[in-house]
Amino acid sequence: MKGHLHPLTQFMRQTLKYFTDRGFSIAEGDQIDSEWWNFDALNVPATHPSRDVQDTFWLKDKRLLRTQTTTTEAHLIGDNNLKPPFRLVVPGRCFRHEATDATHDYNFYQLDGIAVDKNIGMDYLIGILDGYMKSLFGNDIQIRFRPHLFPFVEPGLEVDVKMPNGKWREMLGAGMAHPVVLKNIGINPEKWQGIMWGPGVDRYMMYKFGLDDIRVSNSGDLRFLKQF
Amino acid sequence: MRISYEWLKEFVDIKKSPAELADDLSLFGHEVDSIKKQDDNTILDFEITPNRGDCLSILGMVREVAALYELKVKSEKLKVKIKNGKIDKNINIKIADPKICPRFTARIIDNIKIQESPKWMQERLKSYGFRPINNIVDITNYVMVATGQPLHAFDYDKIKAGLMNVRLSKKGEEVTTLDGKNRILPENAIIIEDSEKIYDLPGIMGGIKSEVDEKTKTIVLQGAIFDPVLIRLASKYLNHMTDASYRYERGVDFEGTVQGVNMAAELIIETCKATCGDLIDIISLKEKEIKIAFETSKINRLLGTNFSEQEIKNYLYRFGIACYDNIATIPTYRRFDLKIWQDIAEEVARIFGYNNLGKSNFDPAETTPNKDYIKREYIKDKLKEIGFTEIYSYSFTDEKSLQQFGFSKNDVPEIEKPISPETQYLRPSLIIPLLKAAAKNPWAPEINIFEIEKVFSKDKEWWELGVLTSGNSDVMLKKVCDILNVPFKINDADKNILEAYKIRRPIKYLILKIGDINIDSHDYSLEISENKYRPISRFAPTIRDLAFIIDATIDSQDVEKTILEASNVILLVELFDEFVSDKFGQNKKNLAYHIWLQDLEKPVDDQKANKIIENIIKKIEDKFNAKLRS
Repeated sequence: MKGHLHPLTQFMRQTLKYFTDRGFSIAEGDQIDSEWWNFDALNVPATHPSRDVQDTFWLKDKRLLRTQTTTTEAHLIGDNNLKPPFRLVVPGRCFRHEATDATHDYNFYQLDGIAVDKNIGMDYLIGILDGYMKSLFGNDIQIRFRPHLFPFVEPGLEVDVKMPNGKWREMLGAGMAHPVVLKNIGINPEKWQGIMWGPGVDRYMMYKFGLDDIRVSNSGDLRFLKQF
Repeated sequence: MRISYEWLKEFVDIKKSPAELADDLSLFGHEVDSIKKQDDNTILDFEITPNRGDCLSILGMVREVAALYELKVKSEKLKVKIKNGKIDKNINIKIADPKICPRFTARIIDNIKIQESPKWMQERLKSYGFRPINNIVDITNYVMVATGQPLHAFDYDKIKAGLMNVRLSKKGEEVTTLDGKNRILPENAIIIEDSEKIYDLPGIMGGIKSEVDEKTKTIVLQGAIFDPVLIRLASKYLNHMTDASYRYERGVDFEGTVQGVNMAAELIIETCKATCGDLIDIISLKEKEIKIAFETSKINRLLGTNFSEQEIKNYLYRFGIACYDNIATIPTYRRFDLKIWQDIAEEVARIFGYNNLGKSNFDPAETTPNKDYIKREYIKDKLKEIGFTEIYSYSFTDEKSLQQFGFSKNDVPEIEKPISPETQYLRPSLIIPLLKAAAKNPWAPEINIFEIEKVFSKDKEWWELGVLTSGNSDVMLKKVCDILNVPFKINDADKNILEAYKIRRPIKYLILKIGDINIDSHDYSLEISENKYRPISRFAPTIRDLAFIIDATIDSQDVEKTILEASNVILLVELFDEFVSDKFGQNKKNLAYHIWLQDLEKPVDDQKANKIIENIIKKIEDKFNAKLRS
């Protein structure tokens, strides 16, 4: 008698394949990180209101639990002195200090991506995300791109997908790597450009399997796990 | 931010319906969360990003709408006509450091009467979400929503000798704000005082000691610029955010103070026939004009476009950005978000439309396989094959669990402000969540579970594998050790812990660092379940076992499917035994299933379970020519 893999494991493998098929290598890093890598390096200064958007689990020793895999992405590239051109995807568990409900939980999974090259423009960003949404929701799905602010990108955008109920639903944030961020990770922004995105994959998994409450995912309840 | 569509239309000739406008503005960077009718107003609820303090007003959104549709702002509506009267009163403004208050604009207004504000104004305020109070408070709020300039009215007679000394606080100084709260200030909050008292916490909230009340005859109407960072730090320290502080920390237009004060003064004169004093406008620190050099080729390279220089300039012009050669001059109200040429590129893209940009595809490229990831996924596959089910659990744990499992809380990272006791520490081992998961499934005929995730010590984090099995047998864990090529070393769960978790069966487990597992792994399965989730009941499931003697050629999954279709009360059909033996007859096999029954509304009682089981037996016997094995 066989066992079962958690739906998110199954889903993550498949969704990573979309990116590895396009030349992206998988990278991973620490879940505990520093304030610098989680905020300052990503152009989110303590003095700016954009910092309020993310509720953070701080440790008593002043480190923190990463709020996004963008943190790890920057940290890995910066620490390893990685030289462009490169394409990376960074999956992993992230944390937000907020009340839980059917769509939010203390820990969740993100899948950040970054590609840095000489002439990689917003057309590549839109191209790869358009394809990614289609890989998740089918080729006939309606997709739209909206300007949005994320301090680590400029221009920044959000991607919406039209749900079966006719409403647009926000799916992920993305943008062109901000020159300050490129500088902070050791890349000359005069020479290189980068595209970045950072989706939370739990909700795609929920959509795929029709799950209505994210907290079930962490429940360890075999009545849930054995269904997949 | 709530904005009235009708109010917007006063300043710009919008031809679209509220719903169309909401869609267009969402695609322009200002997402509309909802559209609601309230009295005679249609209210659009916008999400304004923190960089766009300039949009936190009717005027700000009017500018965006005008840029979007290439319309003219009806600026004549903003013109103010004030007849200055003769006032024999003075204020004495002192600013300790120009940086904290670069501009201080004010008027003294005499002979005012406190009364209700006009109905139309009250309705406008309600459309934004303000409760009408009196004409003076309402007018300052109204003008703030209209222009984005926060305003404050002081009772002139409560200020000693007209002294307005603007300075930074010392730690521990106090001020009672208009909400009646006495606030103990940190160092470097901005305050205003006279020779006797601190009477204002400017940019955040007015003070009781200069409050306008029903007896007020003379006011100082003030609209100023304060340092955004100082306002933010004080507001955060005091845990007190107001409509004013929200705008100040996002940046208020340096050139908007006079407009704000004049517009409010005009409304005050109109509504209560007051006398207006001269404009006081102290610029202690002049803001520099912001100019950004850009190159057409760079913008095109960033956006993947092919715009001409003229096209770019035309687009920027719609935002009031004037270009000479390749230098863009930024309007004062946009200085907080337009700083580098990439910001300019975004404005070009917004006008052009993100959805009109091209799409390009990556050329194939070699990837570097991630050995660590592959190894973990490979291990998961192997465990699944031998019957283990993967769980996910929280990375957190509580003090009590640490104690129970014999971990010292001094060895694990502690969260500074835990949401609940359950999130106070990071887990040092997967045994804690695995045992909790075992406790959550008391009804499961057998429990074989595992998890692979990070665990933590004070100075390290590492990937761990935890495997847990119920029952007395070592067989399952022995298989795991064989597959993973690790020495056979398993643990029995402590009796006291089992008791504490009300687990009424023996539990054995295995904890391994992924780094200590040496296994040749190169691949993992991409299989993905096509099942849709069926909600689980809050009532315990009823589980029955059924075994059939059946033709050996029949696929166990076909039988499983037929059972599942027998009733919607059947949640899971779990094969736990399949073997061929001549003792069942030639080419016969035994198939045994756990059948999990549940009802979302109530427990499944024996009578109901019996009926379903009988039905299943009949179906399987008929369809597959099977025999129940008793």
